[in-house]
Amino acid sequence: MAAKNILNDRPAYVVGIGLHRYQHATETSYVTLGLTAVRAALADAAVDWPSVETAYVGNARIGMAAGSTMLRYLGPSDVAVAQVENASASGSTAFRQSVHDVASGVADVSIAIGVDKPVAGAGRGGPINANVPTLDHGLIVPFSHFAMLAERYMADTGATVEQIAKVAVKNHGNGARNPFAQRQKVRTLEDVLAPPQISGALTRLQCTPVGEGAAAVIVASEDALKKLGIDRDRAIRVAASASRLQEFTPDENADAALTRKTTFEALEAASMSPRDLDIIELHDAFSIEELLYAEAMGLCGTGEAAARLERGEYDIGGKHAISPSGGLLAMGHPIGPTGVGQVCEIVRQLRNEAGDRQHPQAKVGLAHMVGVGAVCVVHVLKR
Amino acid sequence: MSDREDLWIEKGSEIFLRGVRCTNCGSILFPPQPYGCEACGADGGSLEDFEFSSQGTLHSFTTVYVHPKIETPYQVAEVRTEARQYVRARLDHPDPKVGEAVIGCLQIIDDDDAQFVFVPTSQAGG
Repeated sequence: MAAKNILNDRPAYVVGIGLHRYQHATETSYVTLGLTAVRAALADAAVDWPSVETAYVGNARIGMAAGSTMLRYLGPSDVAVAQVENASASGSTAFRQSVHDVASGVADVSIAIGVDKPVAGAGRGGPINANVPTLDHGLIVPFSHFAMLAERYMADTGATVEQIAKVAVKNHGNGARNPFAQRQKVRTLEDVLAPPQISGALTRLQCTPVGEGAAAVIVASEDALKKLGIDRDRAIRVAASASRLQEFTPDENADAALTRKTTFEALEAASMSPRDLDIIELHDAFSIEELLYAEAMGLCGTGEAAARLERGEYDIGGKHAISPSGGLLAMGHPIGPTGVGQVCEIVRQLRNEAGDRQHPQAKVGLAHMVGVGAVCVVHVLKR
Repeated sequence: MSDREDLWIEKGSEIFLRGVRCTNCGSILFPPQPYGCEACGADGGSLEDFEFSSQGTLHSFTTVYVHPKIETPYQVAEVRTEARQYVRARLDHPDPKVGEAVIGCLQIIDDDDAQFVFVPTSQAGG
């Protein structure tokens, strides 16, 4: 039931990217983090701030009106601003809004920004305020949910603890080549398996670090490319956008089902298949997720991902480069910025500007985030 | 989390879980809520109280080693009950394996009130 793809009729291009490095929480204001990324994206696109007509600011932790507060420091403009919250997919959803503004003709130039950091006094979230009782007494936390998925995956497929840990070895290796990554150290299998154990098979280095940072991308229409003289060779087209809410699936792994449906909705809209994907940035908050989602996305058959990863198929230079940025495991997961940062990495790869982590001949990339709710947001970009 | 003890009831020697059943599509939902049926979209008025056995099989489990407030390590489980509903709760099992039969019982944890805990069916006190 894929809707008509508006992006086929009115192209939207990513023309500028900018980041503030992801890092452990510091005293730095979110305003400094965010404006660093915004100014970098404007400079990369060679577009000035008054040319930007709409702005979406994704975050989940810094409170009401953070986006508008931050953007006033860029000086006078006619920009229409909105803050976007969609849990871990906040940045991805901000990007979706910018893309749709451009594709629908509401704006010729839009900016999607993710900025976040832990701040004191953050309120309880929607799931708690819904007052639905649970039996778990607070015992189930995000990593225990994914540790249970890992246990089940091992029972179903025969994969080993070591095979799951190799996801983290790969992604830490990629992160070591990314100056914007929170974790920039090469790690051996022994390092990854070393304590502290967090839950089940998951060790600390198989869990994402949640710190602070910012990312921004500028999205522009065909008209804007001409009018503003934007370099067409560095403009990366957005081929499809899909976003779904988790459904009641009593007989299927709900996380896998949500990713499968959202990914295929996006691929169909882009008239592509999984084998077309060169770059995949996915939600690897925990190592096991990369294996589950690689299978759910149709990159391989069920139960095959661990062996394929071991053979190097998901390395930079492999069949599909999964998380060349380092992914959430190494680049980090500051929440609001994460989905926008994925787009930055894909654009860098498709422009052939990724330096020593460049995947050869990268033409198509897919960005995938999931968030509490659960929601899943997927974008396909192409050169 | 409100009124956790409303989530279970002792019936004879067995602990039953208290969920809701959708009178429109027949789905059994747990935990109970008054908002609407996730399976078919019927409104909260279509959800009636429904008690079901806590017996089921281990869909998955894990040991948690790190928690900001709760003493570790402890085990948690996701159990597929005979009513085809997934239920998550504390687990107390010396050697858990996916697919094993488990059942709910009540245990006193940290001098707190009775908590619902899954244990091996073979070990459940008569």
